[in-house]
Amino acid sequence: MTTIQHAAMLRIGLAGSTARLLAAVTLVAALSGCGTTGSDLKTAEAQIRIGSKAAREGLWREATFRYKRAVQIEPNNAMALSNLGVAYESSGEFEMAREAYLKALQVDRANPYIQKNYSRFSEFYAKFKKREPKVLGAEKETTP
Amino acid sequence: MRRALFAAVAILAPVTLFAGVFEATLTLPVRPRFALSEGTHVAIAPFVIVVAAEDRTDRASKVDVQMEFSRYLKKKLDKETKLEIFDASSEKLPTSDTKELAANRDFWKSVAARSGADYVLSGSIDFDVEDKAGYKTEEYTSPVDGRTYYRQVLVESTGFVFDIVFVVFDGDTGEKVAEENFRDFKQFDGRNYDELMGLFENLRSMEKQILSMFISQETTSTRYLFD
Repeated sequence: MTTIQHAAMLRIGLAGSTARLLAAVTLVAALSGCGTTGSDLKTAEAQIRIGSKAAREGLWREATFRYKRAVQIEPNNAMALSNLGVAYESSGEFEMAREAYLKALQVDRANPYIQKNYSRFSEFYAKFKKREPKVLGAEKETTP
Repeated sequence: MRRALFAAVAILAPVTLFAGVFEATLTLPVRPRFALSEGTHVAIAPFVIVVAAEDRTDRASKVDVQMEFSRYLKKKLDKETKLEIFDASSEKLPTSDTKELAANRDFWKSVAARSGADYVLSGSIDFDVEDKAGYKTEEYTSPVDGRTYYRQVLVESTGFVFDIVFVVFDGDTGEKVAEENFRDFKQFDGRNYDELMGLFENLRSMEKQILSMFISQETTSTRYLFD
């Protein structure tokens, strides 16, 4: 049992109210779901896990933040870099995504998931760049 | 013992490969073909109907493609874009030759002037309906002896072809500034599928493409995330 789980259990014992019990149970369940403790948060793995949990919920900004933290902790963590690439893509930062994917591939070129991510991204990004909108009448005043 | 160990490793290997990885669906942007600023006045002029009514199949000529398409396009652009759309479909085209028409700057300038548009949207449409019939080989299990036989069955279907070229003309100069081509083919079981329904099935499946000329669209794609 982790320190936080202990603290939560203690609080339950002291207060004894149902509301607190529920809150504590939720907290414990959430943290044990992540398999993360306070000290664990310093590891890239824990940051990836939380980031991916956020990504599953569609919380891409939180996911991006977590994957960035993971890369700060372990700059050569291919999984963190690949996940960061996906998170950048989700927010339309395609150049950053490209850099992240390329770094991930430099670290782990044989990983089939990173390879697939990069090839799918490259296909999309090539089309995206090719489809540069033709600006019509930039200088034209709109008819009043 | 050793064999059993190898077997266990072989079974576990794919599991290990897939463990801790899941697929996430991303919503990605598709940029518009033409960047027209909000409030730009666009007139929808008539489109050249490529195949003359007398040459089209009887069924295709039952539909007033010109009228139906102009109405559809105006409605869609009005609803989905922030452009000011004007109906100029009552204008008379000076020729049905698309090249000649594209080069006729004075005509497009005059259409723009009459409708007060910055740009004029026109082009050409080819719509046709084909009834098809043919034989297909299919498996048949006899209820009498339970054996499987092959038999020839007559298959009838209706095909709808919609090919459109969009051309954008500058209202001030009458010059052609952009061109885009889309094509759709739909096939339905049975003969005599309603012509108008067929036309709208074509338009429905091209809707995203048509709108993507003027507004950003979205597409989805999956990526792998590590847990």
